[in-house]
Amino acid sequence: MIGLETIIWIIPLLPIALSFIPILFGGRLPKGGGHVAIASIGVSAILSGIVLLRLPSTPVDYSVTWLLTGSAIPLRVGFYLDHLSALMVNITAWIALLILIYSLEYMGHEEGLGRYWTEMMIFTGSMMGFALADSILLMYVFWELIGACSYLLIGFWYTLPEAAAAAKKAFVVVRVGDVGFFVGFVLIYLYGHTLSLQALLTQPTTTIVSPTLRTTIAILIFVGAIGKSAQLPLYTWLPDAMEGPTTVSALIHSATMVAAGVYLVARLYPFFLAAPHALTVVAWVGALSAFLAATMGLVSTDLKRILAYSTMSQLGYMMTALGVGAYGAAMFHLLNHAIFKALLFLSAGAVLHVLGTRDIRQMGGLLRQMKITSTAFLVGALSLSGIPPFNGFFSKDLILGAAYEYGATSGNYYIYVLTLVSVIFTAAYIFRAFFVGYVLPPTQPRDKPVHEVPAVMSIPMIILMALTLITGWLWSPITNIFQPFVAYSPLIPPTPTAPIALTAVSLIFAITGIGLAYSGYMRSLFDPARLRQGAVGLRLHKLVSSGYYFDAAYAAVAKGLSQGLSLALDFFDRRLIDGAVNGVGYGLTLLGRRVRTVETGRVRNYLAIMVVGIVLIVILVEVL
Amino acid sequence: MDWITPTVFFPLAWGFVLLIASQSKWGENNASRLALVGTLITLVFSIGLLAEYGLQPLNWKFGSFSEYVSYHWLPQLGINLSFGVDGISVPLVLLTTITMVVVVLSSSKVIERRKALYYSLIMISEAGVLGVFTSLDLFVFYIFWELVLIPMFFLIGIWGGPRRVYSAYKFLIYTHVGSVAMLVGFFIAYFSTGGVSFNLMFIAQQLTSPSFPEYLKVAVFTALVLGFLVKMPVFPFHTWLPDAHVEAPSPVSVVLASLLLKMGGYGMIRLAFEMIPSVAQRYAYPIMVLGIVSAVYAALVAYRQDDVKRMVAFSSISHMGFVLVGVATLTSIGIVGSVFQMFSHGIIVGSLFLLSGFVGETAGTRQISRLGGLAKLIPRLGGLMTFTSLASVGLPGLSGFVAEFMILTAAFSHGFAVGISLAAVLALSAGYYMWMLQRMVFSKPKQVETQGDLSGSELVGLAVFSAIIIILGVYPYLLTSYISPTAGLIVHTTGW
Repeated sequence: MIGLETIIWIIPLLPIALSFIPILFGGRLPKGGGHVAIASIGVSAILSGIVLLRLPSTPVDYSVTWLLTGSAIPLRVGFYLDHLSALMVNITAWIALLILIYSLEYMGHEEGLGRYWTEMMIFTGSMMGFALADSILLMYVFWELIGACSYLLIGFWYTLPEAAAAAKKAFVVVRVGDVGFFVGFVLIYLYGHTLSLQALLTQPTTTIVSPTLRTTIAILIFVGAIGKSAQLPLYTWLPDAMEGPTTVSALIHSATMVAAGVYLVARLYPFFLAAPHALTVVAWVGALSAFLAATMGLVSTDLKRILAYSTMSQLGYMMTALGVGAYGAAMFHLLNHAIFKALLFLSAGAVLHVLGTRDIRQMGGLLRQMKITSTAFLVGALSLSGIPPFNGFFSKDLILGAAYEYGATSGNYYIYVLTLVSVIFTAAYIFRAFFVGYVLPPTQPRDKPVHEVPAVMSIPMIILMALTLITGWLWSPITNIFQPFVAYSPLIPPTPTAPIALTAVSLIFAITGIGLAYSGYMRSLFDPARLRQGAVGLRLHKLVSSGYYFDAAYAAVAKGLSQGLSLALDFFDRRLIDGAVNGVGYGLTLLGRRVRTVETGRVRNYLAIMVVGIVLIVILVEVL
Repeated sequence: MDWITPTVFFPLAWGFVLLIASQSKWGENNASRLALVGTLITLVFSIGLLAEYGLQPLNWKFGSFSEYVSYHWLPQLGINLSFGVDGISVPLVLLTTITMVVVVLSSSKVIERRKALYYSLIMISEAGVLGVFTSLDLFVFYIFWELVLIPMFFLIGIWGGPRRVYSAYKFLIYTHVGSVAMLVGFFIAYFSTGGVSFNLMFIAQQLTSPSFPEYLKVAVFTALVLGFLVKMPVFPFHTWLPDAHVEAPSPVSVVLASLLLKMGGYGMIRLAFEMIPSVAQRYAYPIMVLGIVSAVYAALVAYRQDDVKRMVAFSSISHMGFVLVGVATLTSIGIVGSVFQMFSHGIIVGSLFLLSGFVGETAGTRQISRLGGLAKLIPRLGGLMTFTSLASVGLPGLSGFVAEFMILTAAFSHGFAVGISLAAVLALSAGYYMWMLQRMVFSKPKQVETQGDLSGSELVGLAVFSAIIIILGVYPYLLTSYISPTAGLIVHTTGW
């Protein structure tokens, strides 16, 4: 039997090590080497399952010397197995496996398929490596690899200018956040002389003694999480990233890229707890992101963009949970969200596959012909809105309860109110998408008959639907299997629980949201279009649909940088600095011409000049 | 066994063999094969040196190189052919011998006339670079330093682009001014220590003695730093570099960027900082600030460059700014980072120059604004360009990251402001590289036709470079195990 310490090396590294096969030999393999990708991720998933079953009570850490820096302590990196990393690696591996199987058909006819599989393998492998890494340095390595793969995958259809631009944006915007993460862990190394998780998780206060420094570091690391998890103000890449293939979006939005930001905070939770005020920042950023993203979801007509805003909003919920001290609820919501969001994206992908459009106004009338796809979206939407017994209900309820309790202890009820109001918006926007995009009859007659997608695409959806019904019960008022994953460190306080009446309130809010969407779009009790009329409505609509002008502001900065400062410096470089150099040179040449003609074009003449020059200098120095 | 002597003198001898061969038709036809054999043999010698060095027990201090040979040359002037390597120079020797193999591999299609002369000059410049990295005698150091300069002048001036004569002269005169400054420094050191010996260890010992006049130390230090700043190059002494790169044929650009600039960085560590540590300590902060300014400034200017080769040239200046910062932090992690950065940057920027040069050859232009969709038209180039750009912006898992991590850590130990301004370069360089990729490699193809994708020996060379980028990124221990003990001892013995 292979030991756990070997298995935790195989899980992330196997897909990465085999990733060269599809891109180099994909042309000669069926489906561009897709089976290699599925097999390798499949092995990782099965090994992850084994790890979960054989999970020891104390963490397993296995590392090698990686870098020598001239000081006495070498830097070691390796992999680390405890309840949290076992949970995360399972979420990633299994969801990715389902999405890859779905891709076999969805992407099957694309050009450059080998590239797709290779990038997906590195992407998933890096996420699993990130989950299992035993030092912040290695976490950062995989973190950046995740970013680079998402860059390549978002830009998969790189000949489309929008896709190329979206890919660049995803890389650069996330990179701005990454600089924060980078600086954060450099400071840990500098002041704590270690980068190992073990030290940070068990003795956060002795590793970094100064509380102010701990807060600074925690916030810097959180800036990285903001970029990766598309929170305010670094979210602008996420909606544009919809230019990538839908399977990529499904993976990015469920179990990999965006989840990495939340996992980072969860992984370092004992350190964040030891950093005063850092978690307050996390809570505020999370709640504001949850709220603003929900409003943006209301005004979009692009099905994938609606889902993108919903991702940002739901990650806001997870961040809020982390901020208010409900670490367990955050991880639970991460698990549930990964399942229902993958489901929603796979359903949207199926529609896109059949109809070729992402605009909900051009969809519609799909209930009868695409039963599985439509049911999948409905199940996902109910779960997202927080309707029992779907899994989203259970975790969202825990988060809202914790936010309320946070208000009760700290007096800061804003967090609770923001997340609660977002519940209405969430239910409204996702059911608007469902009613307009799936239920209502199409506005234009279709030239092609609509049919259900083949089994290789529908079976992953069916599995995810089943999971949506199951995983909620892992941590319900009556069952609690999730508990050990929540209490991986004695430093983490128990998740606060709220009175049952709050559940009723949030449920009423969710049903109100669905009711609003139903009465506006299905029953025409009011005209939603009228909301954006009038002076206030128009301005508000413009504000929300422009994404609160963050995008415009960044574009202005980038333009200022490339066209203002950079242009000025380029001029400075060419005219002033180089001008001065050439001026000196020209002056000397004039002087030289009076002595002799230099440009004779003969090699030995130049050599002679060189030798004479050197001798002259030597003489000069001697005299001096 | 003595591996240093053949490593340095074999390429020199082989270069002259090629020069003689250039007179015959046979030599002209087989020049690239002969050069490949020559560089491969040199590579074998250098690997022998590396292995021998790795086997030595660690008992290094400045003045006792574990690999050391010396021949009498002009004893009456105190000039000896003394060579030695340590953990700082051994990686750079290996970088040189590997790079030169790739340079020869990638020259075969680019260089069509006067081949034997071309390869002869390449081999001579290889000997020059290797001599610089191993000389322990200041006068010999200077001779090798100049031995690189002259072949480079002809390589740019004969095989370069349309403005090659201007660029070659500019390169020669500008860097020669730097060399002269350095030579002045050497002579001051030589005469003020009694004019007895040019031996590096002897002079270093004399300079560190308390009785040695302070103003002379400062004079030597200033002269040397000036010379090396031009070579690296560092703002505001950098303007020879973009012009030289734009006009040089791409394999020559590789020699320039991967090896010549490293001579500046190596000199900065070995001669300026290590030889006169007390003065270095006093001037470290302004030098560090200069490095940061150079890194930020070149990154900003890179945004505006439309010629992709020019953009890479500015990115190269930006990355060499990191090297200067690493050295000037006077920490062991900073020095390890700097040497690692020199190795890694040599490989990465070498790849980028080969790739951008190839773009010009196959598409007829290197202007980013006139290109598009290269990944579609020439996928191998597109893939490698993307990979190498990611390496250049410091993607973890690839070699550039390791160096940047160490240098940034060292920079942060000198304060938050220093660290943050250097860290900003990471975001800036991601910006201009990704923007270049978006317009040139991705998007819709603009130009109608290209003359074929990368193939044959060029592809082999780039594959070698790419493999090194990955290996060092995944397991930097391989290289740091050489650098780290020496860097630790430098900091220990200099007392920084």
